[in-house]
Amino acid sequence: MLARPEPLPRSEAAPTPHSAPWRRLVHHPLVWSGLLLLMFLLLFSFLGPVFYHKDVNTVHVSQMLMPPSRAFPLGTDALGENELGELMIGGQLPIWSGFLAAFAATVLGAAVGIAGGFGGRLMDSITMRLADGVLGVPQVVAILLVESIFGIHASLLVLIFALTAWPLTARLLRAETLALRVTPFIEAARAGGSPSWRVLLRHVLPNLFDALVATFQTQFTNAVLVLAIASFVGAGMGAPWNWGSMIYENQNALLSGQWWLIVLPGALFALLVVSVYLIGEGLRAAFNPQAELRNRPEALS
Amino acid sequence: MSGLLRFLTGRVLQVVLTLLGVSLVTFALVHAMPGNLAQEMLGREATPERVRSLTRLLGLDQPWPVQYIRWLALLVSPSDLRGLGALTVPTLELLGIAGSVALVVALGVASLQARLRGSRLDRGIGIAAYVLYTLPSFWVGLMLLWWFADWLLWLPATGPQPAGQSVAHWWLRMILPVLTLVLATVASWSTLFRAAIEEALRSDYVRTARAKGLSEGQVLRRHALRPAALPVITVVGMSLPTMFNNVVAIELVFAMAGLGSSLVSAVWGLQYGMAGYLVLVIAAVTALGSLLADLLYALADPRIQFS
Repeated sequence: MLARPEPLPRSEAAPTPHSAPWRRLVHHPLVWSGLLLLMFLLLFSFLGPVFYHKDVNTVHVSQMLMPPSRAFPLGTDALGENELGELMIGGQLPIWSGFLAAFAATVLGAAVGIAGGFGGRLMDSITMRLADGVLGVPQVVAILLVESIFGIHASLLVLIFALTAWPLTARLLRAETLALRVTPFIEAARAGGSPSWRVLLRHVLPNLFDALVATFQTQFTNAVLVLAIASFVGAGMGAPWNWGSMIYENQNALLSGQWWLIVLPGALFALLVVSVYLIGEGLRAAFNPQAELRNRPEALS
Repeated sequence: MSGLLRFLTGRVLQVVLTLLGVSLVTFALVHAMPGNLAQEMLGREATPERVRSLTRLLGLDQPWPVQYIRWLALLVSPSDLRGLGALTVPTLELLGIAGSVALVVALGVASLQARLRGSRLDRGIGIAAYVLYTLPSFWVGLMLLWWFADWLLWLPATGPQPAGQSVAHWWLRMILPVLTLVLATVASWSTLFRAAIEEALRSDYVRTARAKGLSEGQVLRRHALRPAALPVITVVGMSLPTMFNNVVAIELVFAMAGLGSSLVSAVWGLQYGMAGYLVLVIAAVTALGSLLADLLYALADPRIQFS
């Protein structure tokens, strides 16, 4: 008679909230610093204006470019508005549009890339030719062209970014999918008769986690930078208020000594990007199978 | 030699197809405005006859393939070409100078990092490169302007102008825009180059070279940099669109006349016709640039020539 199999050791079973990867994630310093930073920025931009709306968006013509004072903790900008309030509101657009654009580009690129890597050769060459074609389009240029026709709308910017930035993700995901396709366990799954969609869902996608996180990091950085440039340029067209247009409006503040009007928005852009990067690095380190092997050498046998 | 020819024909074909696609999409966008263009131009009180005659005059009643050909033909008319050419040159100058400087600097930094693998300096450079990468290029440009032009008064506050300055002054004015673009590009390049060089350093022939007794510098220069040149060329070729993103911002910050700033002006004035032409030129420059990179790649990789 067949012996009863031993129950699997805990961490080889399906991951639970207390399994090794989650524990590593929760204890990872990178994840915490990134999360805290992101939380701060989210609260600053979205909750801040709710509580702190002293003279926000009110123009004080007589008090332009004033240094910090009790009434205006960060001074006033070139239009006489409260700088602290402006910084808070100014973050909303870069944050939500950055995340949405990066998410859309990642999803679109991943779909195309996985389809190309997993589908037949025809699908692969079609998708790659398409990707190569779109790859040569500078995102800011495409955004500007569309803006000249349809005017400046934040959701339009997100759409154009997603439509022009997906090839980078597609290429990476295609390479990863192709590499996975020839691994023994995928071949075994297909040989066992699993339909393709099931193989994709249960075996391919979980192994693409690392690549997906990495590509989202890159796309987020690109999205924030591209949309920053678009906002900077768009300030000349009446764009909705955000850090990028603030830098444009206050360019001359550097001459008159209010350097923080330029330095702060720029630093906030960088902090936004860094926060997501840190969270991504933490996620990848925590869910890295190599880490499992490092901690538990007996898992190798 | 036939392998090279086949490779190049394939790439040229791809460039042509890409440009065709870009021109079609641009044309579709520019002419997709809802409503009749002639009606817009004449205003609300125009009589139907006037709208009709203007429509015929502008060729708006032709089938769209004809309109498309006419639009393209306008682009290559001598006066347009001259104007667009005058705009392209400053942009190409900026791209060329900054690209060359960034290439040299990035290779140098990457080699240094590869040699000091794992040390604190290596990690420090990596972190510095990443921080630089996250800063928007226009912000870096403004900072440089502030320090060097406003504060120290060492350098002029605008980029090169189309005419009316000596050669020396032209170079002086070029320093800050080039520096900004270099800083914006070097960050990502040095990281990617470093990966390529480290990959090459792990190969067997490098191990042999070290076993022979060559110094690390000699190993790097003679055996690692050559195979690393291939991914380097690929990275540079693929960076052109991103560099154009930054060029638009830099031309604006430094008040330079070029493709980027002209596109911005066209957009501000909602002149989508002009914007469409400029986009096509930019796409052509980008495509030709990547074609050039592909050519260099084919020349550098003997496997392509003899396949």
